[in-house]
Amino acid sequence: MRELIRFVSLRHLVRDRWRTLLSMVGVALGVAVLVAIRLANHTAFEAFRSSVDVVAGSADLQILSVDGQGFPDGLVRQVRTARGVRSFAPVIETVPVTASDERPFLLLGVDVFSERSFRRYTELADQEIDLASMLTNEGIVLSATVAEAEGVKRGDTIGVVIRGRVRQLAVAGVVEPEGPASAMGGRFGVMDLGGAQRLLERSGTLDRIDLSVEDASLIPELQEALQERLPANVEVVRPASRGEQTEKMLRAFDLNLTALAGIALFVSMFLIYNTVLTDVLRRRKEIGTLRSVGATPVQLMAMLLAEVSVLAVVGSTFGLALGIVLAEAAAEQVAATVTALYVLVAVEGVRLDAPILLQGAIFGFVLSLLAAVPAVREALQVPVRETMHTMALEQRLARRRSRMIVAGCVVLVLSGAASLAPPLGDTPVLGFGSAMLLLVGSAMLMPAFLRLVAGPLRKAATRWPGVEPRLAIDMMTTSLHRSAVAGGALMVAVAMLIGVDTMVGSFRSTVEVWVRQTIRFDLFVSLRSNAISASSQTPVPAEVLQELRAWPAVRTVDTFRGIRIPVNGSTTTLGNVDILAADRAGRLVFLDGDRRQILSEAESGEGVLVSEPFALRRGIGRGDRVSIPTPEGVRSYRASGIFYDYTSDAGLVLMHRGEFIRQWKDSSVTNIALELVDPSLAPQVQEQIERRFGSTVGLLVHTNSSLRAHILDLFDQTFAITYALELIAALIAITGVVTTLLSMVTERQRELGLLKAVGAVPGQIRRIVLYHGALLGVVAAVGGVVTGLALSTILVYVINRQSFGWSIQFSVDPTILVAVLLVIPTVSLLSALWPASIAVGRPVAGTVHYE
Amino acid sequence: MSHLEVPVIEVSGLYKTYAHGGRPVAALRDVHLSVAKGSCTALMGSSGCGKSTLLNIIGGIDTPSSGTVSIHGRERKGRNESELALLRRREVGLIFQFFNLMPTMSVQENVALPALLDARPSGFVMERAAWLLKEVGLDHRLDHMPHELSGGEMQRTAIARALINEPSVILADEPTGNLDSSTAAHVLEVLLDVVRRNERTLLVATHSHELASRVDRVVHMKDGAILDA
Ligand SMILES: Nc1ncnc2c1ncn2[C@@H]1O[C@H](COP(=O)(O)OP(=O)(O)OP(=O)(O)O)[C@@H](O)[C@H]1O
Ligand SMILES: [Mg+2]
Repeated sequence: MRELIRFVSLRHLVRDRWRTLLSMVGVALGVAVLVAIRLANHTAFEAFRSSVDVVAGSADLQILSVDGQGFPDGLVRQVRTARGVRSFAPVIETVPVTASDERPFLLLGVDVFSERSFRRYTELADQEIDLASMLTNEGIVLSATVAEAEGVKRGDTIGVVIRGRVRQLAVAGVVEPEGPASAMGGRFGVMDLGGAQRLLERSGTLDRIDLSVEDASLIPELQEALQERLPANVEVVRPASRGEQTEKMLRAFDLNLTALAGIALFVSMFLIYNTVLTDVLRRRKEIGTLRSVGATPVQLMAMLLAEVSVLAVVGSTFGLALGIVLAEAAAEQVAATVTALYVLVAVEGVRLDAPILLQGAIFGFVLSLLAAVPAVREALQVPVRETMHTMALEQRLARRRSRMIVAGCVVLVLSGAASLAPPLGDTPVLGFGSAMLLLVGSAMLMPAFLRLVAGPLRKAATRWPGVEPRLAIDMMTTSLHRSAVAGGALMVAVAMLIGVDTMVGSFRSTVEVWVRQTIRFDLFVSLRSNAISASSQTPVPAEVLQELRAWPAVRTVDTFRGIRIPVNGSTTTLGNVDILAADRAGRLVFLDGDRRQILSEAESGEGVLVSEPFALRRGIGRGDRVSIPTPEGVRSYRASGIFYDYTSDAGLVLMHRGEFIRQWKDSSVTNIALELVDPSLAPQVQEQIERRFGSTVGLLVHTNSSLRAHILDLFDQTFAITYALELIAALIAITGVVTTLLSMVTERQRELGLLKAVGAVPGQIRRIVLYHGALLGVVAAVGGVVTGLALSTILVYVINRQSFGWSIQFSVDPTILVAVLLVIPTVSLLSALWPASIAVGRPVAGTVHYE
Repeated sequence: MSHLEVPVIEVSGLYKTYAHGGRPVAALRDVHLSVAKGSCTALMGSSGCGKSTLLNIIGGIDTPSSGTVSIHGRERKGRNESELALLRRREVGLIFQFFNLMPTMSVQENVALPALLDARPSGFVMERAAWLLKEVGLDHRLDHMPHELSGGEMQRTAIARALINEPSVILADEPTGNLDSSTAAHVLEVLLDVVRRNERTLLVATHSHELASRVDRVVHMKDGAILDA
């Protein structure tokens, strides 16, 4: 057996080196995107998790406020006396930006003395830390990363934007970006607790208390005891579980990107199948000989699969390498999106992860073998004595076409059925299954589709001038099976492109309409430092709001204040608004229900308004109750109304401002919307606001149109990475077209030679191959558009709805359909140029003479 | 020279050397040959003596290492691949021993192929193909596919195809070499008959003495050279 492999296999890979190489490229690209996406997501998540971890230091437990608003530092007394606590450290935490370049960093306020048992900085310092400056002078210790970026050293001052204002802080020391200082990619600073509290205007407040216990076995017990003793708006958690929470929030995001990458890998399987089938076809004589001398099908299968393994291993290995390189770019993109939509993460290089790499390699390898098995079986099922012309196999496959049609239809029906199923947990497992079955089913119908169009097309072609179209159609029909596989791969890639773009396009226009509907006021004011991440929610200084209310140019003021809080168990944004003002501002478009009743119930403080994703993902209907942890304990509110919202898939709950102030005793706001007496003066008023407050408060003032544009920009950025994935899938498919045409011109060299012998000029030979390519492109584009539209309905109505809870108005952009119908055949035609020139270049003599 | 003896094919000083695994193989050595218009000439000689090579070069599907070839006094030198293709299409008709037909085209389409490649109007071309097929006795097989034909029928189809563009020269490389003797005799009959009635010039490579006895002239080759020029 080993001999068989050694003697027969590897030569062929070398002989057809171009085709081998292209197939490897296909596998490599497929593996690369999967690995790149998974690594990028992993990198972003790990960056977040490790920031949490390093900042937690050696803490066994952490006490946190559930709403992110902190808790009174008096709690320390209750904690200290709990049995089993060895040491504790109070912490206040914020993410300010530096004044010079507005880049965020993590700033901790700590008790210098209790800090020692959790996090150590002195070992990391280049010079002694100026403790006096820290304790008396609001001095700050910076990580070297921040210090270098700012060009400051110990003894200098650094401008930091805190609560919208620039503060000059003395640099009390610089530490290496290691340990706690490695949080947020090394952008870290630490101050004395008291100084930080004063600076943040949050005296008497803590964000966290870190605890270490005397004995690790006491952790669960202590956790429970503390949770019981402490008020409802604080929670006692293990540091590790904080990363999990975030991961849960990001899972849908991760899953969707991974699924898209999976399609690219799926496309590369077609390539492997075709390559292997072509290979066994070319070697039919050799295989026949081996069988006639007694090689068993199992032996031959092993021999051929051993050969595929080489291809798969090399392809997958390159795929891993390429994946790591691509992950570099993807990680930044993913981090930017995660930061904009969910939590602040800073990535620095890709974090390699052995399981992900291993998975990628195994996927590439196993899928390649799986794709090869049916191709090898085709070759081995042919009776030994049958002198197997290439067409014999194509004809055998043709005979099975009707069975294939039935199977394809069954798969499509299953896809339809799966799309109707509810989500499993909070992931649309069956939705993804439905999408996959749709792609598989329509690929199975590809041979029938080709056959269907080939007949009439050939008839029509006899009436065209020139015989080349007819010959191209013949060339396709004689290799129908493999043309269908190449076309099928391209079709899948096109379907992915159309499906995702239509979904994104529908989504975008839905958001556009919503933005137009709900953003009606003239100017929008918030802190510039909040623009960094959805998780930054620092309030605007109170005097700004006070002053703006009094400006004669301002007719109405609408305010918004958001805090992050677990509602019914998972993190969401609780916003408070003046319900009537918000309604006036057009903010609220309800799914259903009596508007006046909804509004009055919400205004009374009995009810809250919940966003559509919130309602959908947590299965909450109008009138159901939601539990919100307030500083006074968990309170239950009626979900009075459900409104359309596209700002966050984590959900948004709106509470009347009066009720919020009653519960939280906090009247600060994060966003201010202004309706002007004369809307045409918006740019002037914008300038006035900037002039009035610019020197003291870092405000971001959007006009109506710039805010709309900003929201759409954010939207586009979110989907930027999907375009890259579509492009790679298309690239793999085109590689498939090239390899198929390459094998075609080799297999058909006698026909092409005969054509030359009877007077076909090089241009005609070239056109035949180019038309074949273009024809594949046309069929793939048409099939892809149809399948893609079906895919987009699954994406819009099933996957997106179940993953994120958006309701998207389905809309089809005809320009992209037209573009695909033009571009794909053109690209496919261009990809035929190389095979065509090979066909042209072969000498005539010799190809026609011998049997 | 009577007008019948005007040379249509003129070959002089023709050499063809193949590089076979680094070692040069001389397939043709200083070949001189002229074929008179309207004549039927047989090329004979043992296997490997260079008959096919000579026909290929005359037919423009192979290129000489040196020497000249002309048809109707038009020199071959300096023609590019397209011009050679046009020569094959319009000035010569080729018939091979094996694999003469496009498997995906009907008999009639196969016959019409060189004319279709020439972008002639399809209706006219198909009619002429049908007429030629009648000439070779295949008018009942117009819509058949090549694999439905016998070997003799295939060769008769190839003969009809060779005539479709009315070339002055027909080059046939062992057209009956693959057929049993009675079929071979029939095909030969058809070939000579059609060529003569249409006043074409025929150059045919063959091992068949039967064929040799029925042509105007027999040229013998040995080791890449012509013996009795
Ligand atoms: N492509 C090639 N490469 C190398 N040598 C070749 C090639 N084609 C032909 N030859 C050699 O040139 C010589 C002449 O070959 P050719 O095919 O012309 O002979 P032939 O007279 O037609 O023989 P047969 O009667 O068997 O058809 C032979 O020795 C052959 O081996
Ligand atoms: Mg020969």
